[in-house]
Amino acid sequence: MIISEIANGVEGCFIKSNKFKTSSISVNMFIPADEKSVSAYSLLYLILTDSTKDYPDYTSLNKALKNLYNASLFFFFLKFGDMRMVKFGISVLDDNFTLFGETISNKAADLLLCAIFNPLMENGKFKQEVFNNNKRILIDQINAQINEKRGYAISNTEKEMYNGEPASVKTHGNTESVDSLTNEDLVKAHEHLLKNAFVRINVISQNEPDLIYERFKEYFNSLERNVEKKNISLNHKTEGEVKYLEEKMNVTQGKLCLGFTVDLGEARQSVAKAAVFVDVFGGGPYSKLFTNVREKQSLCYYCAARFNSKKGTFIVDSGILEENREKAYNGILEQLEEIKNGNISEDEVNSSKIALTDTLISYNDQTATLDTWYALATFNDGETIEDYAELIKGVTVEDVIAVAKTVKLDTVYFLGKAKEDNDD
Amino acid sequence: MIKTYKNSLIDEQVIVYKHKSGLEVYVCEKPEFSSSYAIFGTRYGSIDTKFSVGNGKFLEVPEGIAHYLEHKLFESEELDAFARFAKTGASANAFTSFDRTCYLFSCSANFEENFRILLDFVQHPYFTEETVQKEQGIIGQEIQMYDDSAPWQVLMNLLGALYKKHPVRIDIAGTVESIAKINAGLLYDCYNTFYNLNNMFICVAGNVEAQKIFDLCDELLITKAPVIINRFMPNEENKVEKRQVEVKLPVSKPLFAIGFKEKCENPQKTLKEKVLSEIILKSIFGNDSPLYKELFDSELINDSFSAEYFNGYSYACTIVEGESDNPEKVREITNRYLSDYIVKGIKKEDIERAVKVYYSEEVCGFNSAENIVMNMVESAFLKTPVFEEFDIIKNITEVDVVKRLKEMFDIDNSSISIVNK
Repeated sequence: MIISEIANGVEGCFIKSNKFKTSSISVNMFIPADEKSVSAYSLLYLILTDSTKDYPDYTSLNKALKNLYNASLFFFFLKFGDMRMVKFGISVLDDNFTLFGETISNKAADLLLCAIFNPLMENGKFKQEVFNNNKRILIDQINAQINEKRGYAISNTEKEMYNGEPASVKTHGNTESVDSLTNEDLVKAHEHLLKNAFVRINVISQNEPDLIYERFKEYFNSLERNVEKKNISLNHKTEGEVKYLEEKMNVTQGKLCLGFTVDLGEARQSVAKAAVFVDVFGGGPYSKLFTNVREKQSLCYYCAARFNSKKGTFIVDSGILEENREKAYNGILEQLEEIKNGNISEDEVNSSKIALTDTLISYNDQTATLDTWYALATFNDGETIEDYAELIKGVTVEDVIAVAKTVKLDTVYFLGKAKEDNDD
Repeated sequence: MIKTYKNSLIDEQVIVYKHKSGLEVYVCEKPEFSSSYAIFGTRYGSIDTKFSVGNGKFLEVPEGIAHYLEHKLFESEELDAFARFAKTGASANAFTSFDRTCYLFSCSANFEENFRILLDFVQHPYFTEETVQKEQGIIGQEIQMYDDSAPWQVLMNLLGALYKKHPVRIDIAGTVESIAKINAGLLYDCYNTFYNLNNMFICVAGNVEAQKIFDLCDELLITKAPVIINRFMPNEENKVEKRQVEVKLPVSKPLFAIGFKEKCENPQKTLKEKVLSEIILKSIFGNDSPLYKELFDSELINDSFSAEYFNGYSYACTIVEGESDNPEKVREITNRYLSDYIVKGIKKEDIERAVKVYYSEEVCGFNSAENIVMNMVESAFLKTPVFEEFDIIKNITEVDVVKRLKEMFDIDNSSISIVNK
């Protein structure tokens, strides 16, 4: 991994690798965001990847991408504590694997640059048809969240849990904020993002990135950049009282989510301790929740905990029979008490450490996990996957118990069956 | 016997070892990787609900039993498989589909130990009435989770509309009622039939050495007399059971799945038929196609629109799915385009572009050990030579495409499944 300064607030990160058949370039922009700007950035990335100045409609852009051996213009929007990471990237087959010896990597890089910096504009605005189409798509995407109940339940738990904090805003905001966006708002959001976001450009390839960096330098230097790289690690402020939220719907299975807070220092060592605690509590099949709530009590198919290291929180979720709600709730809290009381063995903690380490090392073998790791690493003093794995290995049983003792229940969410059932 | 398949164009090779039991072991060495991925699988899935061994009588078993067996195989008299993997750090799992069950692990350390655990637990079933009973609650909740999943329901309802008798219409996990009939004896009957090594395969990719894996297989595989399995497949008529099926669930916008049922003269489609189908679907339904443009610009679909070729033992259909406020209109326009394509064929440039996409997907599959294994499973399952698809795409003709188009799409023999709000 080699880090270079490309422009003001724009750094390059080169990950040289010969293990992939593809090369990828990703532009990761970090920016604080509220409800309206989250929606604006979400809509923006749909618009920028719909068409460009050179390819003025989605059919011609998609044809161009497919002719480049299915080059993939990807975008990704990540909640990162109270910030958002807006990612635009392109992944393309290496030139030496094309069927007829075509050179495609330069063309793919051009396409990415064109998508980010040269969108299709008409009279200083995005083309209205493109704006309208993508607004419809984004609203459909937000509404479609309800189709998968597990994700829907977790997302509503987070919204309640982080009430009043930027992290409470759902991944793409809400339909009202999207609906209220004007074409002018989007033009401003585009400009704001390019001028004010801290940018990390990752290149994963066997070829040196110098030429690519030069092109980005040219574009970013032509803008009046005003960037502050902030440390965005923000712990969740607990309100003291447990919050309760319940929803009813025409569902067969109840969804129980418990949101917890955990004291987290700034040091990565304390993040590693909390990560091991959350994993041994509700991670793999060796965890307290899997072995007890699922296997011994046979209450559910899944009962798992997921950690948010930027907020110092974790959410336990489970799909259960509605009449087992109390049993599952008590079962989860009992297992937490077990750890708090020191009823956790060296073997259990070791299982978690060895599993987490094993998974971390395998991040090196996937472009997507490598890319995300090294995008976020800029906020962790360039920490490598191996550095963090070492921190995980250093966690002790005592550390896990100490973390457990700081855990507080914050939010309880339940999605249950509506009384007036629909017989269809 | 060891055979090496090489593909110099993409600089990859796969080594296949045929064990004396009849089982084939596929290995792709990727020394530059940090991790590895392994599958031990059997040609046994949810559709195998009635079968016989050799000249024996046909046995009919409860729906969902293959999946139930998958859950129970992780248990043993002493330490269950998850507890054993917990000591090595591997991430272990399993899945059951319509026609196969696969046990897998991925790891970046302790490969040999993990491989030993995998081969051991899959070959040593241990079921008691008590442990079988215990699983009812867990799988019952897995079933209910899928009951609430609109994308799953739209697919299963479509299969129920397309097929009158073929067991592909049955949910993989069965129902709460059907799994209540499962007992230890039935699980052993199914195990002893389908988990014969002659009906199984092993595929491994990543930071491994092929010869070491073959040696481990020689040491660990327990050869039994091969069994001849007769799968009872009901005589499925060549017409759909229902033209349309609708249910209501909490969804944001109606979900639809349109299915085109295809004749199955042989139990399995050939690799060439499958590759051609994939390329045709990319050309007709891709986001660069005229059909996509007409549907999208009329606001009849959004970016969730997709098409897949769905096939297995004695079933084959094309499924087109998405979200729409007017699924019937989507069906009407799709049918109009298909009728036109059947007469006029697909433009050469559109096919060429789809071939590039298909080729690239195949090559990029080598970016991940998991994908490599999944592709090898396809070869092992169908007993087709590795990399054969690369030769097929070089020799596709317009005549092939038109012929395949006609086989795939019989508009009078199609169904639509809708999940309404």
